[in-house]
Amino acid sequence: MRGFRDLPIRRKLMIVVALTTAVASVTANAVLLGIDAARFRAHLEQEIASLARLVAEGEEAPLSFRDAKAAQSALDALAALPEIVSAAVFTTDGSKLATYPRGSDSALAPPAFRFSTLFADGGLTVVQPVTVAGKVAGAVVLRSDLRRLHRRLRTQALTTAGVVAFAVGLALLVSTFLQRTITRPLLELAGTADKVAQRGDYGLRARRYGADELGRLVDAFNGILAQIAARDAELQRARDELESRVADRTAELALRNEELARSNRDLDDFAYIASHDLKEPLRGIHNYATFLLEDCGAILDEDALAKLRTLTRLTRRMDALIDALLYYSRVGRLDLAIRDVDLDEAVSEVIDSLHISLEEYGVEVRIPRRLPVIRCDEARIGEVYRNLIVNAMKFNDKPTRWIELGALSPEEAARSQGRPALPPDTQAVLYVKDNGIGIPERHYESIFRIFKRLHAREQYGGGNGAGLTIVKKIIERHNGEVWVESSVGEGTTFFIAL
Amino acid sequence: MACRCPPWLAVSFALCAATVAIGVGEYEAKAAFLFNFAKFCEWPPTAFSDPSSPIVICVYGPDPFGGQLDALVAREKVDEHPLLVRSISAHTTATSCHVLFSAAPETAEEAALLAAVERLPVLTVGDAPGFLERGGIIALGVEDRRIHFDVDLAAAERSSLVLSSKLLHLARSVRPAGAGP
Repeated sequence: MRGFRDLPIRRKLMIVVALTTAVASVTANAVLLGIDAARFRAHLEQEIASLARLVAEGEEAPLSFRDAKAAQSALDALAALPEIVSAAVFTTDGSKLATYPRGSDSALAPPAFRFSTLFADGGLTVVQPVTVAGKVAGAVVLRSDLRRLHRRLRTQALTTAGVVAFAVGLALLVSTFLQRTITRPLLELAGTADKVAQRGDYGLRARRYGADELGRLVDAFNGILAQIAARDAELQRARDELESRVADRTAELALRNEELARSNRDLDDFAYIASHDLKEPLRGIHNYATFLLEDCGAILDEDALAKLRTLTRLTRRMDALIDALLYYSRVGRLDLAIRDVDLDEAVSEVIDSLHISLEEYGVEVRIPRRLPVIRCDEARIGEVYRNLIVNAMKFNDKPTRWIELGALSPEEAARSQGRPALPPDTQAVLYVKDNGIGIPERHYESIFRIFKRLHAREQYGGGNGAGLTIVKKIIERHNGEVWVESSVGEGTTFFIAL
Repeated sequence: MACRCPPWLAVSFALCAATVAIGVGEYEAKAAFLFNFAKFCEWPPTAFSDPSSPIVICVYGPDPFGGQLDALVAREKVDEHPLLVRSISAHTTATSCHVLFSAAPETAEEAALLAAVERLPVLTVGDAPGFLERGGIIALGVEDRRIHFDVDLAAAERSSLVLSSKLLHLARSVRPAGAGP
């Protein structure tokens, strides 16, 4: 049946029509044939029985007189009927008075002396008793073959086969015309569906031939195509809109970026110019205050002297602030000298330069593993380490102070909580960890602002408040990231991704 | 089979076998012929008072059958009619016969007998030569040790008897009707 399922509908319809017609006509003809055969059988039976009666009548006198010659001549007349294969005349005692064909030792058995017909062994045997004057005098037995029945059956069967073949042929001929009303819309629908599938052209439409199920199918198909086309157009429109919006936004961003870069540049320039230009008058103020202290120290009272000393101290602080600002602006303006740097060497130089302060604060610097070699500006990264180590050294109230320097493995880096999204070309994540006072989480961002202080100026050794800002600036110039994790009272860790 | 059949059948068979070749006895066979003639003969309705009246077979002169005919037809029936055998000697009694057998040669008395029943429904059978010429209907004869018979239909017609064509078919010769005296 699998083969039938895959046949084209046109072929299927042909087969269905042929089979239906064949079944119908074979059934009808078989029934008619059966009825005819039964009727013809009965007819044959009747005919042979009539013949037997006729023969029996002719045998009445010969049987009465035991006249074998006369009995034989009556049987010989059967030669005119080729279908009678054998016959015999029996006397009541069971002996044969005559047989047909003449002298044949007929296989016919002595019968019961009453009328009977029997279809058996491909023949019909009729027993006709011979009655003379109301008394059974013997019997005539006739045996006929069924050649007439067979001939008739054969003829009928051939006729039936012919009729069936003709009917099927005619039905197929008619169906080839009629089936087009079904197959044509269907084939066109299939063709349209193929075209739509191949070209993706949802503007195509199938042709509708009528309001039957196929018509409804075509309508539904066309409706689906229309919906797909509408949705397609909508999708395209949405995509176009999105693209134009992205383009707008990109242009806007580029503009913003440019503005930002310009304002950054302006800021750096401004900081440089301002601080550079501020230094000159400040030096003048400082110098004149110093002159006043040196030249007029004798004539000034103690209160004036104290105020002058405060003035010089403030000018020095101002100078330090301006220097920091200058340095900050220089970091933003200078080109970096990027090369392979062995951080171990760079860090040990920084520690060497700080060793007096470190001893003074009693801070132990731990480097548990070798630091990596990375591409960076050695002097600037040294500056970063200097600022971080100084901060860690200062902001510590523990009796035993330590600072740990290291690099995170990638797994450890992934676990770090405050970590921003790192660029894929990150070489290493470095950290500077201490057991200091810690930083409250709300200050994680503000500590990097310039001149931002969390504590009184003289607390924890003072400083100009630009260290972390410079650290951030340097790291940003390296396209890196810096962030902090801390626990108040326990310690702080600064992470640097380069 | 023979044991289950009535006794007359055995006799009949014995006699009938003799019709082909007379070995048992000429008159035994002739008795069977006489009986069979009664079967193929049709009497006018007036010949019987009712359907079960007997067919009377009269034997004229000395009985040549020696009681065999009586034995043959005893308890036999032709249609509804039983059979009765009667010996007659006087022509006066012949009118009540249905079959009259005469084995006697030509005599004046026999001639008178035949003349008396000539127009009565009596089937006359004889085996003396010239029986038909004397007005008889069926004449029996023996040739080559076989019994044959000749029929005079004209005589039968005069007696208002109808002999079955089946019987006539077996006759050696049949004198046609319409040639009566």
